[in-house]
Order: sequence, then C-alpha cells, then structure tokens
Amino acid sequence: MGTAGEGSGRGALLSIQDLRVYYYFEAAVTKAVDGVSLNLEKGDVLGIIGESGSGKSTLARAVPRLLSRYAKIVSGRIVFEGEDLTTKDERDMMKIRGKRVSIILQNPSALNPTIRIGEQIAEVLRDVSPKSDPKPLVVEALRMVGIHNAESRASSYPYEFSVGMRQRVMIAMALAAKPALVVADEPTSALDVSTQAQILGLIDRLKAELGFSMLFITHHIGVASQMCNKIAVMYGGKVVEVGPKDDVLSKPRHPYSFGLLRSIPYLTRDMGKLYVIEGKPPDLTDPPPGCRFHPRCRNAIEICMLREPPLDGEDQITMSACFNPIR
Amino acid sequence: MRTSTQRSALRVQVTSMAQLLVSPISYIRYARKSKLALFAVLWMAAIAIMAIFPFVIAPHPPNRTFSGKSNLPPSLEFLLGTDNVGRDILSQVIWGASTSLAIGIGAAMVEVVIGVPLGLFAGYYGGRLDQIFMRIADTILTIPTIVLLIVAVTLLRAQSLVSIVIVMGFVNWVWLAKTLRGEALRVREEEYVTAAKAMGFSDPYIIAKHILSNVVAPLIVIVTFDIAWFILYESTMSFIGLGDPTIPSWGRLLFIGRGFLNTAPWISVIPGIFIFLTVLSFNILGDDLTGFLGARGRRV
Amino acid sequence: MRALTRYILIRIGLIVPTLLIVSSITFILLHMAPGNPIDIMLGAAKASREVRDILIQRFGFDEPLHIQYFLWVYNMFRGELGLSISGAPVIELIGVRLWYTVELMLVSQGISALIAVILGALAGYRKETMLDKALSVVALVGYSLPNFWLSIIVILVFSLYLGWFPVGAFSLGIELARERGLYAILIHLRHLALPTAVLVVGFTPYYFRLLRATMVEVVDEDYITMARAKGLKEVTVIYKHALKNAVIPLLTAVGTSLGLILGGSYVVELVFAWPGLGHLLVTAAIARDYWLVMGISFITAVMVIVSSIALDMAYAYFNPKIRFAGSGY
Repeated sequence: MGTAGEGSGRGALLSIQDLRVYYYFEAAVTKAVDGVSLNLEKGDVLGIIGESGSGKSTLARAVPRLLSRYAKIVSGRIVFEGEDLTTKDERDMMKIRGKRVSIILQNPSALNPTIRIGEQIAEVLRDVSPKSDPKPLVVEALRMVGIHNAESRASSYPYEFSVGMRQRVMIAMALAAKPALVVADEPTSALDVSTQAQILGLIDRLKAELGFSMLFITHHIGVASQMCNKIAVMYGGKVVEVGPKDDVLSKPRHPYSFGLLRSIPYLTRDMGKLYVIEGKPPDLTDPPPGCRFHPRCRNAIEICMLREPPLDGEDQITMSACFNPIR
Repeated sequence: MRTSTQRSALRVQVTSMAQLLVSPISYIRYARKSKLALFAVLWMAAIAIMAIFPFVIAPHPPNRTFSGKSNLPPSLEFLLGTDNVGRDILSQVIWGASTSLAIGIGAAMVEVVIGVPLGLFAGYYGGRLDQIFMRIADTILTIPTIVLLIVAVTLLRAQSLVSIVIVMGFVNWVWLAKTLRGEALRVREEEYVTAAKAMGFSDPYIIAKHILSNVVAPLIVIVTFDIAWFILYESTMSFIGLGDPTIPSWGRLLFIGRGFLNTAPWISVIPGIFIFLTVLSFNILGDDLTGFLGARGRRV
Repeated sequence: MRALTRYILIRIGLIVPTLLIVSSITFILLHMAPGNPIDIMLGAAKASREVRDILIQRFGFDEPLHIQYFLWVYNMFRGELGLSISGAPVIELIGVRLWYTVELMLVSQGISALIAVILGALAGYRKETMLDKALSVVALVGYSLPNFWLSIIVILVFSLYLGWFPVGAFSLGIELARERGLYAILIHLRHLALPTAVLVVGFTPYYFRLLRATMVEVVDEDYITMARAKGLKEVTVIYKHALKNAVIPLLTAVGTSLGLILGGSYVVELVFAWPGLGHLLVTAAIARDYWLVMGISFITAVMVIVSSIALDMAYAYFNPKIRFAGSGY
C-alpha cells in the first residue's frame, strides 16, 4: 500500500521530512519551504501543484541540492534510497546527481550553447562507465527521445534545434544514466500546446519503458491530471493537500485546492460566474500567523488565525491541512 | 507660456533632480562600510587639501632652489629630499597635487563640454549624422590616447598647462560621448519621452530635462574614472618630457629622477607613490559609484 | 554566402574607410600646426636638395590643398611615409622596430590573458567569497599602478640593486649578430623579461576584471545549473561550461581597449629602452621629427585595426550563433 503523506516513509524511494528551506538575501529571510513532508514510492509520479511563490520550485531544487547560494536547508531531511541527502557534502552529491537523481528544467535553452549536444549527454555517462565509449549510449538516448538521425545530430549545437527538440535533448540528458528519480520542474511550461502534448506523451512512454519515478512540478492542473498518480498542493511554502490524483482533483478538501479547481473554466458546462480566490499570495518574509491561507479563505474560522493546521487525514494517504475543510 | 500640465511636469522634474543631489549623503553612509572606500575618501581629502592650500602647507615655494643641496636624501630638513637642482621635493609634491587635480578636473570639464552634447544629440536624433559620428568616434578610438596626445602636443607645440588640459579633453571625449549616445538612444524610446513630446515640449528641452537626468549616473562614473586617467596621462606626458617644464608636477619629478636612479632614487619613487595612490583612490571611488548608482558605462 | 564569411568580409571591408579617416586626421593636424608644412616637415631634415625636391613633388606641397590631401592619403596607403630628420625614410625606421613591439605585445598579452582567465573564471564562479574579494583587491591595486613608475621601481630593484637583469638599450641586432644561437636567445630573453613583467602586472588585472564580470553573468544561466545537475566536477563546470561562454563577450570588450593596451606598452618600451615603436615615437616627438611621429601614428592605427579584426574573427569562431548562423532551426 502506498502512502503519500506524512508519517511513514519507510520503504519509500524519496521521503521528505519536515523540510525547511529559507532564502537569505540582503536583510530579508524568505521562508520558501517551511515544513514540507512528502513521500514518493517507487513508480510514483508525484505532482506538486501551486502558484508561483508557493515554494514548489525551491522544493524541486532542494532534492538534488541545487539551490542558489542564497538558499539554505535550515532543517529537515531528504531521504533518498535510504540516505539522507541533507547531510551529504558536495563530492558525494556529485556522485548522485545525474546518475541516481536527475532534473529537467523548464527552460529548454538550459543547454550550453557552446558545446555539442552529444557531448553534453556523454558527460553524464562518463561517470557511470568511465572506460567505455559513451557514443553508442548517446545515440541510443537521442533515439529514445525521438530525434531522427541521432548519429549525425549528436554533433550539432543546441540552437540548431527547435525549442521542442531541445526539450527532448534535455530529457535525454536526464535519462541517459537511467536514474531512479527524475525531478521535473515545469518541463512543458515554456512550450506551445501541441509540443507540450508531444513531450508529455514522450515522458509517459519513457516512464513505462525505463521505470523511473518522478517528482513533477507544475502550475497547470490539466498537466498534473494527465501525468501524475498522486498530487500534492502547495501554498505559502507548505503542503495544504495531498493524496491520490482522483481524490484530490474530484473531492478537494482544502479551500485553496477547492478554489483552484473551481476557477478552471470548463468548455462543456455552464459554470455561472467563475470562482475567484481573492487576495494575493502571502509575503514569505513575513507570513500571516496561523494558517497561511486564512486571509483569503472563505471557510476561515477563528482558530485559523491562531494556529497552523497540521497535515492530517482519515488515513495517511489522503490528507489536508485545514481546520474547516470543504465537505 | 507654459500650460498647467507642463508646469506640473516641471515640478516633478525638479523634485527628482533634487533627490539626486541628496544622494552624496547616502553614498557616504554606504562608503563607511568598506575599508577601501574609507582609505580612498581620506586620501582624496588629503590631496584636495594639498591642492587647494599649497601655499599654506608647503614649506617652500616649489621652484626655489637651494644651492649646494642637490640630490639630498630625505632628512629632517627636507622631508622628501631634494632634486638635482636643489628644490625641495615635498613642496614640489604638494604643489604637484594642485597641478594634477587642476589638470584632471580641467580636462574632465573640457571632455564633458564636448562629449555630452555630441553624444546626446547623436543618440537622440540618430540617422545619418549619428552614423557619421559613430564612424569617426570608432576611428578615434582605435588610436591609443597616448599616441594622440603625443602627436597633438608635438604638432601643435602645446606644452603649456592650459594647452595640455585642452588637448587632453579634446582627445578623450569619445568614450563618454559614445556611452551617452547609447543611453540617449535607449531613453528616446521610453514612454515618458513620447508623452513629453505630446505635451508640446521642445526637443532641446526634452533632451535637457529627461535624457540628462537618466544620463547623470554613467556620466558621473565615467568622469570619475577619466579624472584618474587624465592624471595618469599628464604624468606620463611629463615623464616622457612633453609636459610643461615650468610647472611643478608629479610627472616632472619622475622625469627628472630618471637620470639619477642610481644616486637619488627618491626623486622618482616618492612622487610616483602619490600618483599611484591618487589613481587608486579614484578607481575605488569609481567602482563604488558604479555599484551605488547601478550605472552602466564603465570602461571595465 | 555563409554568415561567418559575410561577417569577416564586412569587418575587413571597414579597414579602408577607417584608415582613410586616420590619414585625414593626421593631415588636418599637420595643417593645424603653426608654420608652413614644407618647413615643418623638411626644415630640420638632413636631406639633399634633390631628395627635398622629390618629396615636395611627391606630396605636392606646392599644390593647392585638395591635391595635397589626395596625395597625402594616397602616399600613406602606399607606405610612403616620408623622411625622418635623420635622413632615413620613415618606413624603414618603423619596419625594423615594428617586430619588437609586436613581440612584446604578444608575449605580455598572452601571459596576462592566461593568468587572468584562470583566476577570473574562478573569482567569477565563487563570487563574494574570500578568494574573490582578495583577488579583486589585488586586481584593483595592480590596475592602478602607473606603469612607468612600476618600471622604474622594477629597474631599481632587479637591475640596479640585484643585478639580475640588464639595464639599457637592447641594441638592435648587433649583439645578436655577434653571437648566434642559444646565447643570443638568452640575452634576448633577459632583456624581454622585465618589460614583459611590468606589462603583465598592468594588464592581468584589467583582463581579470573583464572576465570576472562576464563570468558572473554566465554563472546565473540555466545551463550551468544543468551542468551541476549532471554531477560534473566543479572544475569541469567552471572551465569547460562556464568559461567557453564567458570568453565570448570578453573578446568584444578587449577589442574596444586595444588602443589602451598598445599605448601602455609604448610607455614601458621607453623606460626599458626596448627598441620598439613606442620608444621611437617618444624620441621622435622630442626631436620634433614630424614625419616620423605621423608615420608611427598611422602604423599604430593599422596595428590596432588588424588586431581588432583578428579579435573579431576569434569572436565569430567562438560564438556558435555567428559561426553557424543560417543553419536553421
């Protein structure tokens, strides 16, 4: 039985336990991730939904420890395949990155414009098998992501490719060493709709073929619905709701998730006036007391201003953090 | 006669200009954080005092020779020693500060007078004139300034202080003009310029008020660095032997000292320290100003 | 036509108008000088009547102004740069010394660039660390040192006091002619060492600051995050991924400062009596040898333009967008 929530995490591929990541810049401290706990089992695609500023990108980069120099993991653990990544030094992390945990970024131009793409893929492989010639594996990786004439295209430079193709190359780079966990930070947000569909389809196919697990960050509910089997909703640096996809999407408990889902216009139904979540996202250098969402929440009651609601649920699978959830 | 909209626009302009002038105070607060900046400010203050009040501070007139006391090493009588004809080096150094600052600031003024209007007009009006301007500017930039200076001084027989100042300003305005032209081009496309034109302000007025206020920041930075350059250039020219031999300057001392390196090295070495520290201070100041004003247009 | 070829041809094509402007400027300056151009140019020259007449004819000094201008420009492009007051043709005097200047420049700039690139990349990647701050301060100090003063101190310490290096003129070729082979090379190097050292101290900070600035911008790019995400070693990330991109804008920046670099080396040549163009220029200026001064300025401009084009070509080569532009999306 798989769990997505707090508490267990035994046997999980990735277990994030009460993680706090703060940014220290000039005089301000931004609490981007403030007590997040999630579990990801082998084979899961865990989607993290949230608006910008919810902390989801920070969370994504925290796992392979690729945070900016201004960010610091203040407390918490990131347990991957039984090892706590927060305690590892750079040298150990280098051995893990790219080979056991890899990342796909939003920007398809995150390829070095001055290095051939074949070489950029080969770099990952060199640490895996230093002696052998990476070329056949590179070609195989390119073919796998659907790039024709893989052999000749391997010696091309990035901007000789279209945006969609570049994203495929990024995926090839992320999967070449066959990692167990892939962190995807909004991988299709910069693409047009049809390319997006192609790339998502590709990721789906590859997942079935190679069997990796994914942490899938997105602000697009439709994409999350298509790709993920579990969804976590983040707001103000915290997880407000988590559970299997169908549960979260059809029966959201937390007023914020409810608001998100209800503010999607459906083409096939007349929904009347669109639901709008009033207000603005919280200032994470000085978050509101109690529940972070309470200033904008239609369900807010007195206790919401005083205490932070714990992430809890009837079982440990579907959970929400609210004192007065939607029934 | 100005319309009421024009008058209120003017009021906004004046207030923002005033804010700009207040910034030196905030700069001093910023500078206190860094030891380097502190040193730079202190040294510049010392140099400024030397430059403004040489007649008070210097023990002797700079060109007064003491017969029989030539090439003396630093002693209690002559704190920095004497040169080959018996002049007190300390006095020459103090008066030299005057020379250096006067030349630096003077040449900077010439450069600003030439470069600012040229750069702004070229950038604002654009077109054919701008193209010609750029072509000539780039060409002048290919010739090393030192070479231009040498050529100009030689051909024009300009070896007096005033002519050196003018020549240096004339030779060095290009970088300033080019940078300001870039800024003018950028600002020209901004919305508030279009708005000003729509309100009926005339072109020279727009340039003076709007573009100028944007341009002040890189202007200050470049001028700061350029004053350092001018001091260096003047010293170099004097050192080579193409400076004004009648005026005391740090470069002249190095020139004199060249012949006596074996016997009286202090003649060249000590004034050089002054040049070095002054240039260093201006560079520190320029660096800090760049960070502080967020200005573009540094040479480096 | 490939974009790269076009790029280079445009750059080369710009030589002619630029040199045109340069010769025009020298012409204007000449005629701004007080006195009669003929007297100025030939006044002190130790030249015979026949040579004077040839020159007057060649440069049209007795012709109207516009013809003089045309002849002037035409002669400059031909390499006919007139006569020095010593009686020797200007191009000859320049020709011998040109290579010494080029040698000093190439060696000093090469060493400076190498050191600056290695250190600048490191400082830019590790921005605001102790290493970066220390290097930046050292760079600031080095950059502010007046090169002629540093030269004097270097001579004082290393030549006069320690006696490790020779002082004074490296007589053109005479020493070399006498002793060929390894010994000659050693003598040459001994003379080259100090001026090179001074130039390196002066220019390394300059390149360092430039590279550090471009590096800082590169480091924030996504492809650097990706490089780290692939688990590559820091050295690889800095020197393979980041540097390749940071060098590109550096080339452009250096291109605009070529004049500065050359000017700086001219002064150093003078102090060390290194027999290059700088040394010649100054001695000519003091002696009021106008032909020679103009000729050297012209050749200097040519050198700057040529280096500028070389840099442009390097830029086009390293910047894949230009190199492969037109190969399509």
